[in-house]
Amino acid sequence: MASDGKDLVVSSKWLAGLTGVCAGLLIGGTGVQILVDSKSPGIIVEAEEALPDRPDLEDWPDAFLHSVEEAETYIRDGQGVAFNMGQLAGLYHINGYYTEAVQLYQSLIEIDPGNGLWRHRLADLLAGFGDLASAISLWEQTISLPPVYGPAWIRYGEALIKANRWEEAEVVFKDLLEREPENAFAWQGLARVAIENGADSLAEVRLKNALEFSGNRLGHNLLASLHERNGRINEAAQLRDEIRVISDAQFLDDPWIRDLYRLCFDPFQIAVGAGMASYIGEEEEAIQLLERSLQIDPGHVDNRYQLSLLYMSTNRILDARLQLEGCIELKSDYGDGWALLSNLYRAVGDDRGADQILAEGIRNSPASPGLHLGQARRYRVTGNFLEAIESYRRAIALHTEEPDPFIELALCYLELFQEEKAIQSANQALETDPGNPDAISLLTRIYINLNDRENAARWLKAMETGARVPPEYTREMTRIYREVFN
Amino acid sequence: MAALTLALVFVGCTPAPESKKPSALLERQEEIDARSFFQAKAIGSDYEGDPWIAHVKAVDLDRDGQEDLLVCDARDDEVLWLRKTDAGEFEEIVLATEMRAPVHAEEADMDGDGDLDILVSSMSIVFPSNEKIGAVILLDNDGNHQFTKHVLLDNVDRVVDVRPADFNGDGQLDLAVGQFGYDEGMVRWMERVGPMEFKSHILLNLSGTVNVCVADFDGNGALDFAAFVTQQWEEIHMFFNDGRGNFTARTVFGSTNQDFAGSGMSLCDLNQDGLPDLVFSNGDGFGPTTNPGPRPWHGVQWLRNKGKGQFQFARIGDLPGAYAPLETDLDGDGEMDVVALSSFNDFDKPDAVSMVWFRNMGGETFKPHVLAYKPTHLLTIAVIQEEGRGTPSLVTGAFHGWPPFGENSRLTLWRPTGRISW
Repeated sequence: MASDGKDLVVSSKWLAGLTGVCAGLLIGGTGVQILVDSKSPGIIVEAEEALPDRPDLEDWPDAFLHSVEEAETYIRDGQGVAFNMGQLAGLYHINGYYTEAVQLYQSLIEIDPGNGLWRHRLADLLAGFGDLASAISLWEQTISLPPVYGPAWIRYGEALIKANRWEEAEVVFKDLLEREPENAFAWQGLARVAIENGADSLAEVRLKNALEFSGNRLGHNLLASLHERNGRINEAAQLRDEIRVISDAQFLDDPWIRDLYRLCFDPFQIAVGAGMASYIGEEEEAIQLLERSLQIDPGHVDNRYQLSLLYMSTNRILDARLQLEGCIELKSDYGDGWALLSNLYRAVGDDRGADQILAEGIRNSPASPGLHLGQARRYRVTGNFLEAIESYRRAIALHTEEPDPFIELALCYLELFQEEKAIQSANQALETDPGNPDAISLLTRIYINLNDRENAARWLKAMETGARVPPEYTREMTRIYREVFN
Repeated sequence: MAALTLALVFVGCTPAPESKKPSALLERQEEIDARSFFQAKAIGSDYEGDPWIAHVKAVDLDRDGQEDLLVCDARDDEVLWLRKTDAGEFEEIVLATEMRAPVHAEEADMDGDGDLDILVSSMSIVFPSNEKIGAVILLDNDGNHQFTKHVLLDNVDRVVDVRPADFNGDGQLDLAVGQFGYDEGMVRWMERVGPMEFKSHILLNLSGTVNVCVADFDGNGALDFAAFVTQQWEEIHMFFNDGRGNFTARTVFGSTNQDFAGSGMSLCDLNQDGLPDLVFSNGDGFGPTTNPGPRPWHGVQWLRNKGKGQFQFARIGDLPGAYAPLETDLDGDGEMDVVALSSFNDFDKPDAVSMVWFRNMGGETFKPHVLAYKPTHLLTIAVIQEEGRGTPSLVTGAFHGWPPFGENSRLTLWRPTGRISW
C-alpha cells in the first residue's frame, strides 16, 4: 500500500506552515474537496514553477486559451492553487495535452495527497495508453484514500488482471463487493479470475450476478462462451436469444473522468463524452455536453444530429426539430437530417409535412439511402407497391449492408403475387445478415403459401435452430405449417 | 521537471514513485512533410464506387523471383493475385470468388506438394454481427495456380487472422486462428490430424482478436503466438508453447481504456537484437458517437522482447485512426522504421494524415514523417522489394467503410522517388 498516511502527515506539516488561508472548494459535480490555498510568496513562486510551458493553442477556440490563461493566473496569484491546478490539468488532459496534464497531476499529488482524484485521473490517463505499471501504483494509492470510489477499484482490479496478478485482482474485487455488493463490473472481474483458475461453476455464478446487476448488459458474452465451452449449446443459444443485443460498448460509469468533458473544447471528443454519458443513462448530461459543443462549433452538423436524437429520446420534439432544421440548413445534402426530420413530423401525426420534407430531402440529397428508404416505406403503407419497389431498389443500390430493405421489398413483391422475386429478396436479406429472424420466417411463410412442403420444412427447421428467431414466431409458423400440410 | 521541483520544496522528502516520466508519453513531435519520398500509382483493375480492400500481402506466389501481391476484397468477396510481370507491372488475377468477406490471406505449402497454397480468413460480414458465420478456407494450389477451396473451419465466430506453423513438432503445419466475433470471440489453435483435418483447441474465449503473430518469443525453440484482443478487453495475450502444442497463456500488454481501440499488430525486430518484438496500433475509430473518428490516444507502440518471454511497452508515436503498423527499413539506413496508416482520421480536414513513416532516429526513438494525406481510408499495407530499387516500395489497400468519401483509391503502389531531404 502507498504511504498515504505519511503523505498526510507531511501535508499537514506543510499546511501548518502556511501563512495563507485554506479554502474549501468543490470541483463541479465530483464532490471532491480541496483544502489547499495560499498567497504565500514562496508558494506562488513554486506554483509558478510547477506550471508546464503552455503549448501552442492557436488552432483551438479562444475559450480554451482563456480558460488556460485564467487558471494559470489564479495559480500565479496563489488563489485556489490546487483547484486551479486541477482545472488546468483537466483542460490539458481532456483536450489531449497529456505531457502537460501528467506534470500537473504529479504536482497535485504532492500538494493534495489526501485526494484520490488526481491519482485516479493520472492512472486512467496512463493506463489509457497501456502504461499499466505506473497506473497500478497510482490506483493502489487511490483506493487507500477516502472516499471509496468504486471505478478506481474496478480499474485497479482490471489492471491487475492485465498484469497477470490474478490473486491480487480477486482481493480487490472482493473488497469492493463488500462495500458495493451489486457492482456488476466487480462480479465480471471476479468471473474472469474464476475462468482463469478453471473454476467454471464459480465463474457462472459470478457472471449471472454481473448480468443481474447490470440489467443484462455485462457478462452475457462471457457466460454464453462458458456454456458453449462446456457443451451446453442450448443454454448458450437461449442466453443469446434472451439478450438479443449487440452490445460492444460496456462503459464503466466513472464520474471523475466523465466530469472532464465539461472542460473539453474539441467538438468530436465532446460527442464521444456525450455518447458515453448517454450509454450509462445520463442523457441530460449528454445533452448539455452536445449543446456546449455547438456553442464551440455551431457548424458541427454531426453533433447537431446526435443532439436531435437525444432530444427525441427525451421527448423534446420541438428542440429536436430545430436541431434537424439546423442540420439541413448548414448542409443541404445531409440526408440523415432530412430523413429524421421527416420521421419526426410523421411521429407527431403530420403526414403531409413529413411527405414534403421527404420529397425536398430527395431533391437535395438524391444519393441518400435513408431518404429513398423513407419514401419506399411511405409508398408501401399507402399501397403504392410498384412505386415502393422502385424506391426500395434505389435505397438498396445506394446501401446494401442492411437486411430490412430487402425484407420490406420482399413483402411488396408478395403484395403483387411475385413470389419468386420475394424469395430472392428475402435471400438477399440473409446474405447481408445471416440468421435474420424476419427473413427466415418470411421464407418459411412464402413456401407454405406456395404449398412447397420440402422448402417450407427446410426453412421451418432453420427457424427452430435459429438463435435469434423468437420462439413465438416458430410456434406460430409450426401451427400454420401443420394446418397446411397435415 | 518543474513538478518534481515543486514537490521537493513542498514536502522536503523523497520524490513520489510516479514522478518518473511515464513510458506511455512522448514529447510532442512535429510531423515532417515527407510526401515527396514516394510517388503514388494506382494498380490493379479499374473500379467504381467505394472499394473494401481488407488485406494486402506481399508474396512471390509463382516463385519467379519477383514479389507479387495477395489481396482480399471484402466487398466483392474475392481473393486476388496481383502478379508482377517482367515489365514491372501488376496483372490482376481473380483466384477465388464467393469467399465470404475475406479479410486476411497467408501463403503456405499446406499439402507439401511444393507450391504455395493460401489460407483465407473469412468474416462473412465485415460490420458488426454476432452470428457464427466465420470460416477458414484453404485455397489449394494445383501447381498451375488453379485453386480449389477447402473449408477448414466453418460456422464459428468471425475469423480475422489465420497463421500456419508447426506447433507440436510433428512436421505438419497447424494453424493459429484469431476470431474477432463481436460480443463473443475466441483464439484457437488447430492441430493437424489428417491431410485436411484439424482438431481445434480453444485457448481463449474473449471477443475482438484482430491479429495473431507466430514466432519463438521465449527462445525455447518452439513456435509461440501472440493475439491482440480488442473490443472491451484491449489486451495482448501470449501463448507460450512447450514444443508439443501445450500452451501457457500470459498477458503481455493491456489497457483499461475501453475505447483504446486496438486495430492491428505485426511482428518486428525494431532493435535488431534477434528477438521477435511486436508493433501494434490503436485507432479503430468506432465508439459511442454517430460517426467514427480520431482520439488523442490513438497511435503506434511496440513491445520490446527482453528475452525469456518478458516484454517492455514503448510508445512509437501518435497517429489518429492508426492501423496496420509494419516494420521496414524505408530509407535504407540500416535502422528498422515503422509505417502505419490512418483509417479513421478526420478526413473532412485536408491536413488529416493517411500514411505516416515513423523514422527510426536511433536510440529507439522515432520521428513521424507524413507520407500522404490522400488517398484516404487506407486500411492495409505491404512492403515489397522491387528489382532495381534500393529501398522498398509500399502497396496500400483502401477500405471505404465510412464517409467522407471523395479521395478514394483501391490499390496503390508507392515507389520511392529517391528524394530524401526535406
